[in-house]
Order: sequence, then C-alpha cells, then structure tokens
Amino acid sequence: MILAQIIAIIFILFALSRVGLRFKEGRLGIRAITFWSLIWGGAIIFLFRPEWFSVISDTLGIGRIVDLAIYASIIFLFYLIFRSYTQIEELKSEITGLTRALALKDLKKEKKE
Amino acid sequence: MKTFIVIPAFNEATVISKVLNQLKEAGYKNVLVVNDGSSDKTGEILQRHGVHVAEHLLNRGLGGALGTGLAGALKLGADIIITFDADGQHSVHDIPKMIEPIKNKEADAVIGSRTMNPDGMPMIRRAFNFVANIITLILFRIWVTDSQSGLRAFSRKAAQAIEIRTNRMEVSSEFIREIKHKKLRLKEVPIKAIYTDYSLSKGQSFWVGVKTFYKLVIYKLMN
Repeated sequence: MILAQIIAIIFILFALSRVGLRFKEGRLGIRAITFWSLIWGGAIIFLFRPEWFSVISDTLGIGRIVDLAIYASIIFLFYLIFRSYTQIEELKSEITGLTRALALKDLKKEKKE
Repeated sequence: MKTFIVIPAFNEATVISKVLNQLKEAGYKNVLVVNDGSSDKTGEILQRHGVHVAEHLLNRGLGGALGTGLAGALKLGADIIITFDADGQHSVHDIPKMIEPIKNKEADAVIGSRTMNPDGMPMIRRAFNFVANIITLILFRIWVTDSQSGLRAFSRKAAQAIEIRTNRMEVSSEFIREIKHKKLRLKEVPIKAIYTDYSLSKGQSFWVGVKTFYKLVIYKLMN
C-alpha cells in the first residue's frame, strides 16, 4: 500500500464518521446516509481494487482507471453544484412566499393615511 | 370596472411622491404600492399618501414585488390591474389605452411597447431590448416588441391565471411566457417612455441583463 492510499483511507474513514454522526444527530435521513455511504464505500473499493473498474473504463474507451476516477468526480461535483443551486432557488421561493403572505395579511380594504 | 394600479417600489423616496401625485391628479384612486423592503424613506412617504401599501419585510426583487402586487390587487377586488413603474418612466396618459382593449374584451393582457414609439429611447436601450426580445422568443416561443416593458395591464381572469415564480428582473420575460402558456389574448400598444438620469439608473445594466439571461435559461430548464 502506498502513502497516498493510506492518506485517502484515513480521509474516507473520517468522512464516513461524519456521516454517522449526522445520522445520530438526526440531521441526515436514511436516503442521504445510504447515498453518502455508497459514495465513500465505492471510493474505498476503488482504492483497494482499481482493476474492478477497468471494465467500465474499457467500455467507455478511457485509457487509465485514474482518468475515469477524475472524470467521474468532476461530473459528480457538477451534479452536486446543480442540486445545491436548485435547493437555494427553492429556498428563495419559499422566503418570497412567506414575505408575501405577511405583506398581504396586513392588507386591508382601508387605505393607509 | 375597478382598475388597480400596482407599483413595485424599492428605495424610490426621491420620485415616488411625484408618481403618486400624477396618478391621483389623473383620477386613479385605487393604487397599491408594494414596498419591497426599502431602506430609505419610501415607507414613510407612502404613509402620507392615501394608497394601499403592502410591506415586504425583506427585499425580494421586482418579480417578488409584482407577484405580491397582483395577489394584493385581486384581494382588494380589482377587475383590471395595471403594473406601473415607480421611477417615473411611465406616463399616466398611457393608462387609458392600456385599459381599453381589456374593457372591450379584445385582450386579456396588454403590454405597453416603447419600441412601437421609440422617440427618445436611447440606442443602447433599444439594442438591449431587441436582444431581450430575441431571447424571449427563443426560450418561450413568443415574439413581443417590448418584452421588458414594465407597463402592463391584465384582466382579473388573466391575473388569476398567471403564476409568478421568479424574483428579480427576469419576471418581465416570465410574464410573456405565462401569457403564452395560459393561452391569454395579448395586445401591444405604443407607449411613451420618460427617460431621466434617475429612471435610466434604475433600468437593467449589461451585467444585470447577463444575469437575467442566465436565470431565464435555468428557469426554462426547470419548468
């Protein structure tokens, strides 16, 4: 095992411990736990058995497995950014809805003098 | 038929009094101003005028304010709703020609078009407007001569049908999209835009336009 693998495993175990902690605190639901466990679990498998991923890289015509990992990571990061963006937009919409409801609650047929 | 003038206002203390006085002198009694979280004296000034005021505790942007304005006017019993800018760009004398097609049942929505009467409109604004019209056409497949116009009129039925989801300047194109999507009858009428240094400073700059375009693309993808 090389030094990079050891450092990566320590980081992955740390990340998995955070996932477990958030679940214990009730801040992450079962779907989120499963999702992140699969991601970090997949990362550990890749570290120990990268040759298992050669089927995927050969099918896609990508030469090196590490290139596959980088491409997949970039796509995954873009997906996370897009998800975060849509969640922020939903939050903004909810804030507008709340602001509107409060503004209209005080709106009466009599005008302000 | 009860006509309501809806004015979205954010930090318009320098001009809002003049605009409200012009509307009052022209005989428009039903005015609803949406104070969109102004930090200047807009709120205090509105208290002195006999108008309805809907107060946003937080600034939500033009789209947010217009959504509140339409909902508020419907709540107050409006049959026709006019959206009117707070910065003095619009002329009260154009309001009757906005109302007429709705009263005559020729249209459900009317847009006041500055490009049908472009005298005095700065060239750069005409160019930006044209680009905005092209973008609206590509994204929402409807051509209008002034997609970014703030002077609009809606029948009660149209105002009830339209759903505003955007918060900021992209709302102008969203109105166009909703008109097409909800199969509302649209008419455009020529209006006069009043350009002052103040009203020009309140319009869309190039970078705001770029941001608006980006948000419209995302809106299109998500809807």
